[in-house]
Amino acid sequence: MKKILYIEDNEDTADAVKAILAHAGFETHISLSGKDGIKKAKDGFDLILIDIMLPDMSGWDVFTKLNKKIKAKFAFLSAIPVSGERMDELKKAGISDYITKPFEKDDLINRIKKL
Amino acid sequence: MKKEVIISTVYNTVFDKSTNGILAADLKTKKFVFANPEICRITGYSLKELLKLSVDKIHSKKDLPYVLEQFKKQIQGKIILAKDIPVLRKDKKIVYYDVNSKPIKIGKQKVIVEFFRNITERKEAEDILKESEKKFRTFVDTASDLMSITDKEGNFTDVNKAMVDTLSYSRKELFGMRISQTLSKKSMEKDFKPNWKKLIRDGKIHVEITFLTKNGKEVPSELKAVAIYDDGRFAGARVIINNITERKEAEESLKESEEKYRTLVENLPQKIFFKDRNSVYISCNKNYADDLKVKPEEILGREDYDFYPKKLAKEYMEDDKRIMEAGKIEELDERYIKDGKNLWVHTVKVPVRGNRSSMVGILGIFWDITEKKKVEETLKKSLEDLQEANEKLKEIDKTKTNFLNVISHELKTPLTAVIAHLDVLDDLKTNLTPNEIKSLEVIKRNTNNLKMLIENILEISRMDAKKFEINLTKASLEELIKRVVADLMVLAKKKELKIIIDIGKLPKISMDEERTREILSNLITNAIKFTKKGSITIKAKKQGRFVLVSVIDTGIGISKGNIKKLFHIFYQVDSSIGRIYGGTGLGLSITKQLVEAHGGKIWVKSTLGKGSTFSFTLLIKQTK
Repeated sequence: MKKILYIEDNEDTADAVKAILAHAGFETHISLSGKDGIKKAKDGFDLILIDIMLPDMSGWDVFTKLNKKIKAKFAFLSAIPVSGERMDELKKAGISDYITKPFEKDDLINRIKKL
Repeated sequence: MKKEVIISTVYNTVFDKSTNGILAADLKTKKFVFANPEICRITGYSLKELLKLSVDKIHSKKDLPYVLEQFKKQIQGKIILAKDIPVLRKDKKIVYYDVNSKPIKIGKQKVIVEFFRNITERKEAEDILKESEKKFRTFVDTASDLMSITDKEGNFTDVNKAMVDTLSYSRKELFGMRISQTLSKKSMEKDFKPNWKKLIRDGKIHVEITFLTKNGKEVPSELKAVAIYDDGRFAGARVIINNITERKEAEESLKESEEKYRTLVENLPQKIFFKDRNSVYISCNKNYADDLKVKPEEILGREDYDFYPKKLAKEYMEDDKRIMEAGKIEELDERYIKDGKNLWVHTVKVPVRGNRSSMVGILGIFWDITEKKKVEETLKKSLEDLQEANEKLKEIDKTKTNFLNVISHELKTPLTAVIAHLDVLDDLKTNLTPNEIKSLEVIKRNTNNLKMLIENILEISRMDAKKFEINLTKASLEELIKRVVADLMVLAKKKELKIIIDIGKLPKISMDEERTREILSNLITNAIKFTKKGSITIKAKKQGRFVLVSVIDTGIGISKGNIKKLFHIFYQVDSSIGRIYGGTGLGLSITKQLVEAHGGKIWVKSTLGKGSTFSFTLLIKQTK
């Protein structure tokens, strides 16, 4: 069973995602800020899902602070679409996936399963 | 000494020492009775011998009658001097003497005393002169110049052959004519008359006149005449005439050709000037002179400093200097002032070399390019403005992109929460009543519509902000089509529609998979949406450099009038369509732009009530 940390400032979304993923069989923890997320991430997760637009810092900052310090995969979950070119760069940097909001439930579950 | 003796001695000395030969002969017998030493020397005989001879012995038989005739005339007092008397010497040589004879009486004897004056030298000189005259005559007659001598009235007294030949009158005819009669009337009045007076006054003239030949042909000539004076009075003229017909013709043709060039240069719209090696003006055409407010002939000797402000003149002259030193043509855009206005001119300056390849000056030709310069300046300014505008646009574009990102986030965040919670409810469906489930479906459907609307609006806005970024990879179109169809199969099954895939052998094509998926998804979704029963067929085949994809439905179809507007933003064939079939009216507009971003085309064929065929092409190989 995968252990996931979802860093998302919108509590409504975070709750729903947690419920959906729980239904699909994942253990999901929530952080409502970047700072908190960085702190919690050290508890050990298989996947860190990061919203890009966080109130205290950007999702990118969160990623760079955690990358290579913890043994987890990273994925962005964002309302802002990403270009193919940018996606290639992100993959090179260590981002395993980029899921656009609003997401399709089945799509979300499938992609997380693949990671 | 006695007086008689003295006289006798004097006489003897006179006779003996005289340089004239003195000989006395008896008038009757013609025998010589007296001879002095000089006559002995002249004749070659001794005194003794001479006194034995008579007149007929010292003149040849041939000459004797002439000699006797001359003596007779002298005796009769008709002539004083018998000229050119040939004397036959003892050695048979003939020498010539002028002889003065005088009959005298010595006692009863009538004697003729002859004084022989030696003229051989004169005779020789005359012969030489004669010979020389002959030579000269030949020279004069063979000369190509026309030569003649006239008297003081201008009557010909001598003419050479060239004169005869040229004027076509015979020598005889010419001798009866005045020089003025051989001239054309006009030339006679204008050239000859005043100049003949001048000749009398000054002694020589040099004038161009026109002769008129016997045949009426005009001969332009150059006449040189020198006055002949007799006792200080004007007595006639020696006249040399050059036929200058050819020269005149050459001059005329040169003048004509010069005239042509002059006319050409004068009429050229360009300004032309020539300066010497010190940049002093030699000449210019009228066009340039007009600019400078001078006459063309007034430019000689002037400098640029006379016409232009110091700084500009200096520039011009420095250019001249540089060009003449380098010996190379230069083309320059220069400032120019005309009527106080600042203009631009384009100038070609040509260094000019003389015969010995030394630099003699500089030729300039220039024309106004102010308008061209203005256009250039305006263009430059426009370009700068454009660049500035472009920078601003980029700035705006950046702002817009940021704005869109914020809007995306702000719109999607609540939507994401709503959809996610609907999904949660979906998972809990078993706990809901049928009415609750129905409400859930309505909320779900409308939320999806809202989601699609937001996606499309953002997509369209993004398209405006920045052309599509196409991320090309080589991929199989067939697999993509199959995947899209599989995703949409649920929709089709709900309406009991068949989906048929009819694909030939296709190469892998370079495309943006995500974008192409959008194209296919839009078209197939539309086909399902607008078809009540029947089937959707998806065909794909290679066509030259392209792959042609068609989505064929058996739906409601589109009228011809509406087909044109189909791909416009926010267009739906009928506003009621939105209410019946849903959709934002943005899908086909986005689809079209996506196809075109791939270098393809999209079009539709349709029959109302029977169905539509949407076709598009994709380039197999994209060249960047």
